[in-house]
Amino acid sequence: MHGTGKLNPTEEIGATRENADSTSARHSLLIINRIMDMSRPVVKSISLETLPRRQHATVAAIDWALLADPEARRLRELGFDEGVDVEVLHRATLGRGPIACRIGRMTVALRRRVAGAIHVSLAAA
Amino acid sequence: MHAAPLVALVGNPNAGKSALFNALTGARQKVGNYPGVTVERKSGRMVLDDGRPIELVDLPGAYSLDPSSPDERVTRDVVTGRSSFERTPDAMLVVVDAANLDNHLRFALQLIALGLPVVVALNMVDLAERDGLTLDAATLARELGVPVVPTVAVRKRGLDTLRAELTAAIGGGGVKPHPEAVESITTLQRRARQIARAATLHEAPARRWAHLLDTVALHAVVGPLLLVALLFVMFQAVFTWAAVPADMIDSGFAALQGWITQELPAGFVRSLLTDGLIAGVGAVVVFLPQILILFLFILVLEASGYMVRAAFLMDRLMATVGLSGRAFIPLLSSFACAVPGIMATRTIEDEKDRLTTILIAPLMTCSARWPVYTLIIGAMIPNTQLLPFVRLQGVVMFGLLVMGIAGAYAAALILRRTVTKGTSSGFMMEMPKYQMPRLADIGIGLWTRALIFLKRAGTIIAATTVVLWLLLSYPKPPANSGISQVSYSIGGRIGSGIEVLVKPIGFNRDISLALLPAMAAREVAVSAIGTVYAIDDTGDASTQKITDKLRGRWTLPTALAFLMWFVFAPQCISTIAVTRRETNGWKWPAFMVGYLFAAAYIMAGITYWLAVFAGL
Repeated sequence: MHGTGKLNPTEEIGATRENADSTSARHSLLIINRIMDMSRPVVKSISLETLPRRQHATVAAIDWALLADPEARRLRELGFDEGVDVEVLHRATLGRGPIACRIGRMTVALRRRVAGAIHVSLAAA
Repeated sequence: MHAAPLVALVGNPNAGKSALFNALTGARQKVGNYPGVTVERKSGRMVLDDGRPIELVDLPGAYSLDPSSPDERVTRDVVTGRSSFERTPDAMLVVVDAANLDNHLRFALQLIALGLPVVVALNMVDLAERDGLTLDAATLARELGVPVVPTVAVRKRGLDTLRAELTAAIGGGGVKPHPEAVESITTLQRRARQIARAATLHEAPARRWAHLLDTVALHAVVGPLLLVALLFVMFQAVFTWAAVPADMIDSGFAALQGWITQELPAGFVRSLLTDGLIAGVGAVVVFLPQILILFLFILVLEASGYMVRAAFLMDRLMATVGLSGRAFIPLLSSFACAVPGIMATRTIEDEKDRLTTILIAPLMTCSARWPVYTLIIGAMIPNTQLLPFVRLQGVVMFGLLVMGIAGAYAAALILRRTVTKGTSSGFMMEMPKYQMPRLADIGIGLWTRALIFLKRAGTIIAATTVVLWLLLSYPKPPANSGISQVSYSIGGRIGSGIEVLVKPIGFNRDISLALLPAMAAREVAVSAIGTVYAIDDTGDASTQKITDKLRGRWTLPTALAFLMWFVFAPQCISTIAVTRRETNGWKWPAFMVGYLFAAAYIMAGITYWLAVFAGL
């Protein structure tokens, strides 16, 4: 269908599984990180698309290259920027509907493809 | 040139601009709650403390001076002094939502940088307090370098101070806006966040109850079910609640007709009034209650903030035809009337998305079709009980509604792959806070709709009905010639000409006659048929109800083909006119009329011949 041809690879089910596989490896790396540098908060990077609901996170980076110009502009105008607080509130409809997320004090609806371009860091509690 | 100073009301969508505009000017306009409800120029007068009158213009909500939709372009052009429709404002009243400073201050900074005198209204401070935010207006004013006034527009709080600040801000005038600031959105956004942090004295976590509402409204399973249930209740209400007031209007017109028949001698004037004007206009005004009920639902859905949630739920489905959930809002409005629906497409950013939505909006079953559907179904379809609460007439009505949606779906699918080809702009939308709709705002919205409708009934519909009546009444056939009045008249001869074209799809002469005046507005078809039979019948037959007359003259396949014709046919001058205005030219309205007539002809033909072969 329309638009789905340009899905971000992280949207594919296979990619998600791959993430899961590499988690343990990344985890040990994180532990080393933690030991080496106590001053920096320990984070792991995932996209807003895969962020679990109700999990507070901050925007780590936005892959602007994946977004069309008007999309990128509107995303900036809605306040998406590195270091901003985000949280996924809802994932719509069975299938591949949009995502509702909280940014600052606003609720914003995004399509999954766009959410996939937003990398977030999860403060390891 | 001593025009009153112009003050532009500017701000983000959902900042409460429209409410502030109403509070300041007392002017009336629609106050909605989905981003960008202000799509037309709204201006009003107010008097400053020193007695000077000023003109306040409410500009469409925007996120920045970098426009991404037609209505944002209007805002940019006006505040930068390059609008061809509006003079350069002497000052700006910038509205920000106190509970969303992070975001709204960025646009405010961009506006302040233009160099015009600015007063900032820190609006909805009550909601911000309820939200756990304590703000310091003085810090904000110091950081921004302009006066900041806390307001609650809907309760008229802070308006005196606002007026005083505006009085001080509007000086000699003649200030030219600077060129737009070159700072990037991101830089401005970071600065906005800094200022917001500085001005926030106390902050509690964002309110949870709104999220709770969304947990239900946006739930993967419950959400869509709730939306379907809401739409069902809406359409159900349109037909059941309207019955009593519609009957009252109907008997009112009948009484008027009876009174005139009694008081006036038979002749030209009486016939013109009763057969022409009252029969025609009355047949249409009967539908006022239904239209108002539909608009009541739409206004409440908009004002409460639910409409954007509905768009969110519909996005997946709309994406399959290359549209976005945003298109759902204008399309739902089009069920009442395609004209406000098409105007509401101005908030759609992508040009191709917007064009597609405009082109399919006339396929939504607008209220002008109900008179036609109700009359024909009532006369020609037996009201057999199929299931408890389910009758055949209702099923046919629902079928026509679904047919329109299916037609729109198919049309969008084809259009997006051919004439309006392009990548979808996607779906990115701010979801406004839930709000209790204000009774006064809903009342104003309904009142505006009622006036527009009655004006239409009093002008376009009355005029076409009278013209049709004249065409059908003259010339009079020679006495004892055996030729009926209608056949002999000018109108009848035109009708016979059209009949040649529409005979293959099962239409008779009466329908051909009704189609022409119905170009002005669909509901005229009903009054036109009424007029045809009123003129043709003399003696006993004239007291027959129009439904009985139809039963005597139409076959079922013809009636079904006629209904199907009206699902598709673009018979509405206002829709064509608004499409021309919104697409800046005749190309797209011409295309729309062409493809819809072609679809109407083909679908009506298929319906007719299927029905004939089925032996109906």
